[in-house]
Amino acid sequence: MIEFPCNLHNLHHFKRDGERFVADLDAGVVIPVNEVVCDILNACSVSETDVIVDTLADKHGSRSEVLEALVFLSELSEMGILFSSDPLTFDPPAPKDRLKIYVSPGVFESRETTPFLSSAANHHLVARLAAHADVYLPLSESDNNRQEIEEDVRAEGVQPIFFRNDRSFSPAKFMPKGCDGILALSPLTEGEEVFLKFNTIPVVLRLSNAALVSHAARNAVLERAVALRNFDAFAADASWTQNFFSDVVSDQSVFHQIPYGVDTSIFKPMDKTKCKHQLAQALGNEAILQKPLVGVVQGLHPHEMLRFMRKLRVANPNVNYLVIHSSLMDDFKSDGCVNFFNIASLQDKEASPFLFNALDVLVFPAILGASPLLLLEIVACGIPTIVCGYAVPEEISGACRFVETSSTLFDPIQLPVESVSQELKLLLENPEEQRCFGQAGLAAVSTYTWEAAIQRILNLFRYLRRCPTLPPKSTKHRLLFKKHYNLVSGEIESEALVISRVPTPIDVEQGIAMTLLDEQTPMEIKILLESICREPEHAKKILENLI
Amino acid sequence: MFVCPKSTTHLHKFRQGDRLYVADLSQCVVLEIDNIVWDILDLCPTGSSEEIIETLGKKYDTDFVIEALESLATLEQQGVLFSSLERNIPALGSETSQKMKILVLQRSRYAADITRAAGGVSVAHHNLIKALGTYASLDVVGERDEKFNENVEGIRFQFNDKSARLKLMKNNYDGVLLESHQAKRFLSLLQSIDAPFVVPLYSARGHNGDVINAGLFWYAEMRPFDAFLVPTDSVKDLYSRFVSDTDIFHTIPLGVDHKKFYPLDKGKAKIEVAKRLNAPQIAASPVVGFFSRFQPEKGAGIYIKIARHLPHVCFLLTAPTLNIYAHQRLPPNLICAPQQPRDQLARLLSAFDVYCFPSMVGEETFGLALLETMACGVPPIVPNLDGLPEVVGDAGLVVPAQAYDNEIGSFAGRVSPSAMADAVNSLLTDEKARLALGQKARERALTFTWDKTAQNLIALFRKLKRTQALEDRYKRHFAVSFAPYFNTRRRQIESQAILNNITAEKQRPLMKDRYAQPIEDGLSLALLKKHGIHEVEAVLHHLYGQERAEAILEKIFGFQEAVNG
Repeated sequence: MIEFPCNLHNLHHFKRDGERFVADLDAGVVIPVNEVVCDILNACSVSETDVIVDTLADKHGSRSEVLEALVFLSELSEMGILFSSDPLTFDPPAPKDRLKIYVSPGVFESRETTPFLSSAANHHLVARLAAHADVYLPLSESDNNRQEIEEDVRAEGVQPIFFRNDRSFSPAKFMPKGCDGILALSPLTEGEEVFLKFNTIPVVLRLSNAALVSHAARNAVLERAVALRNFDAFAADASWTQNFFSDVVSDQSVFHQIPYGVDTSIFKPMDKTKCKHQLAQALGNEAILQKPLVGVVQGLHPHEMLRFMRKLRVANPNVNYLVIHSSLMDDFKSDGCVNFFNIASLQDKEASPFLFNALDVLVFPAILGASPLLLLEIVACGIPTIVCGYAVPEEISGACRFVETSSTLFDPIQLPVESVSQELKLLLENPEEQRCFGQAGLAAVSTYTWEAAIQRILNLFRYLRRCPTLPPKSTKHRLLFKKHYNLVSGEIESEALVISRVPTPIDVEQGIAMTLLDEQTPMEIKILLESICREPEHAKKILENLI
Repeated sequence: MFVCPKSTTHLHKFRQGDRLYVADLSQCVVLEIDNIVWDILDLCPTGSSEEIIETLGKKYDTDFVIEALESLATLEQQGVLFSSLERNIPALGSETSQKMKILVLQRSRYAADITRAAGGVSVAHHNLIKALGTYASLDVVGERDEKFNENVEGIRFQFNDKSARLKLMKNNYDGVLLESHQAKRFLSLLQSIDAPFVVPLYSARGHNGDVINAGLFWYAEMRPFDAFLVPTDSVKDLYSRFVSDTDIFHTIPLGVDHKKFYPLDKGKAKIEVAKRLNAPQIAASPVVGFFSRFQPEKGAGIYIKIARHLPHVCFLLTAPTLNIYAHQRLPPNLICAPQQPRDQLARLLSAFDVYCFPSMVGEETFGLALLETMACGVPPIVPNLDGLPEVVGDAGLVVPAQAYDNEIGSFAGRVSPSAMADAVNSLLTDEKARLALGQKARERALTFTWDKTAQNLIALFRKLKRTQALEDRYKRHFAVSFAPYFNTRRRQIESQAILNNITAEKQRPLMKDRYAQPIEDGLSLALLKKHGIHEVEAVLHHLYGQERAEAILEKIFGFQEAVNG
């Protein structure tokens, strides 16, 4: 099938006795054509294939006729007729500062908590992005309070794109013209792979560390990592996320770091005693005032988290613990002990700073599943921090105590309770050190502003736009897979044949790689070859030849 | 010199920028021309050449005008702009509109000239064309535009000529018939001509594997509405051992020209042949005939050995040449008749008492010479190899022989001379049985006619056209990804294919957005975008073996059926 827009040869249309003809002056050929083909030829140097199909299907009242005409044209194109094989040379887009970005919140994401996005962090991100770029957001047409949503969205400077919520909806169809990039706020929702297929718009997939708590989500990262083209990227929101995938994602350059920003006018040190009282009131439990309060950010599966907390409380019974969740949805209940509370980080900006300021020490697991935004916000309140994880988070390096754990992507994480409780004791006994870490944390977090986060995203898109898109046609000649009879062994074997003036046989695996290179990324082909080649060496050799 | 006036209704002149062009709509060609030619084309429907020279002489230098006329004459000779043979466009009568229009692609340049035919394949092809002409109008690709008879027309075609290809594309054929599957250069036309192709497989084994490999080449390229024509089921059986799509093979037996091959009085025939060859023993003793090329593949050596086994019997062979056997001592009871014109073969064949054809395995998918001899009322004795038993039926003796099934490419079987000799002897000594079998052979041969073959072929073309009409013209192709994933049961990273619910047209027809699959299924779906199902079969055969390949293909085929409509 031809991809439009497309370069045309020097053509001349004319009508003769009611029959239409097109003359290709370069190829020296005249072709009788029907009206549909004529219409396509008129439109195809400017419009894209699906636009042409849609408009002409309306005009002629039959989609199949248009598609048949397209098949006919692709046959001609393969013969080098009508369409020029020169790669399409678009005029280089005029340098402009304002990018057009299509934001995908995940096609079916619910919008229960905020006017247009379920995550407050993403809400902030999009709203602030809209100040620097043209931001488009797809929204369902059938929503009950559509009017209200539209107003909210427009108030933030975001352009809504309303779509019919039917099964055949494809967000790729609603992309605004001249779109510079797609920002998928979560790479973990289904349906997003459509952005990576059949177009050449750079895609940035937001890699949310907090969402990576499940195996399914981690598998999705593996899956997307091979599907990314050389002009796509992951935007990780935490510095340590990438470490976990270093063994399984061979091309580490797909990871880029775009940390969140912290609004330090809201998240700032406050009067601790006052905050503690407020929290005690909110939780309805005065016990919170009697012992030091240790906050633990949730990052594990609930049952693992409970086990960890039980051990920690046994090892260090003289403090109160408060487990802080990143979202409301976690089904997590305390087991009724007096020194153990849990609370979902309130999504509204109002309550969170008071809650965080009530803490004396924070325990943060730098693992997949923990929310990096919570870390930044709590540290911004001047709370000294103990981090246990695979690597010291770059975000607050030097401003925390660190306990190392082993990095396991798919096995249950064993947080070292002994060491954590040791560190906890030391830190609680030493107010001077608490103050030092608190101050260092404040300094570290001050560089993470929303402004910086937005600029990083925009710069990433500008960088990706400059990356060369893959050549549209990697194989000049047609390939034919066929069986043949081997006289010597007396067996039927298969080979791939490059059909050219002198047909050249190549081995089937190489043929597969060549033929799929048009649509699959080199990484995908690698995965495929590794699983179909009998010897790993063979796969390696083909890949080297190919790229 | 270019002779005017001439019609220019099939031409279209136009300007593009500051250049002048003329398009020849009947030849699908565009040429750039100059002012003089432009003016000549204006004048030539009405004026004579002299008038044109005179008129334009006022505007241009007369020499240039003459030069332009000469260049037009050269083009005319090449068949461009003006064709020397005015093609008569058939009137749209009710009869012609029902007739199928079939394109014939053949090796020989002289389409319907049967006198040049030599060898089974060309004899079969030319007889078929002749018979087919009654039921269809045929365009036969040859060197020149030429009309052979009312229904058979030669058309010019050159491979590297784009406009010639386009002409074939635009002619809207109902079908395309090849002379032989070994003409692989025609393969590329499958891409350009949107009509069912029927490719005959007149040879299947032997020939150093060339024939089987050419067949597999076609198989890889063929679309669901193309077919192999096989003269006997033996070819289909052979191929079914290594390709999965056996529905593509259609058995249509060949025919025999009963005007040329008929029984004559045996006694008289023998006397006449004996006289002509100056070999009186032909009239006096039983005659065992051989009618084929005299070479090892056709069982020449075995025939000689049979002759040595039976010294009292006369062995009469007719062949174009004796090849290497001319240089050795042949048994005295072996008599060679020079090659006869096809019209006179009936006399010679009628002189045979039995026909002994010890052809090797791999040579005979049908045995046209066998059928022709049977038509002359001669009982045949053949080895039990390939298509021979199917043609003989119960009208001759079939001698057990050994075929080595895995040897497809070279000499692949054994015919025992003594077993053949025993069979020959048994028939020669039993006159009653011999005459009865001769009668049976004649009766059986009468059931094979070229007319029947042609009718069967037309029926096949009609069937294929229906298949083509039912074929989904437009197929949806999904985006397929290949990705690693963590298998929680085996606790390791493995590979999977994913069918994404997005088509090249950005439609999302399926219920879910993502279907994880085994690698082989995803690979097949991804390949189907640019390759046919037979090609995917070759890939799967290579990776997983034929049995699994067929299972995967079936699954994929089912999916495609469900998606496209």
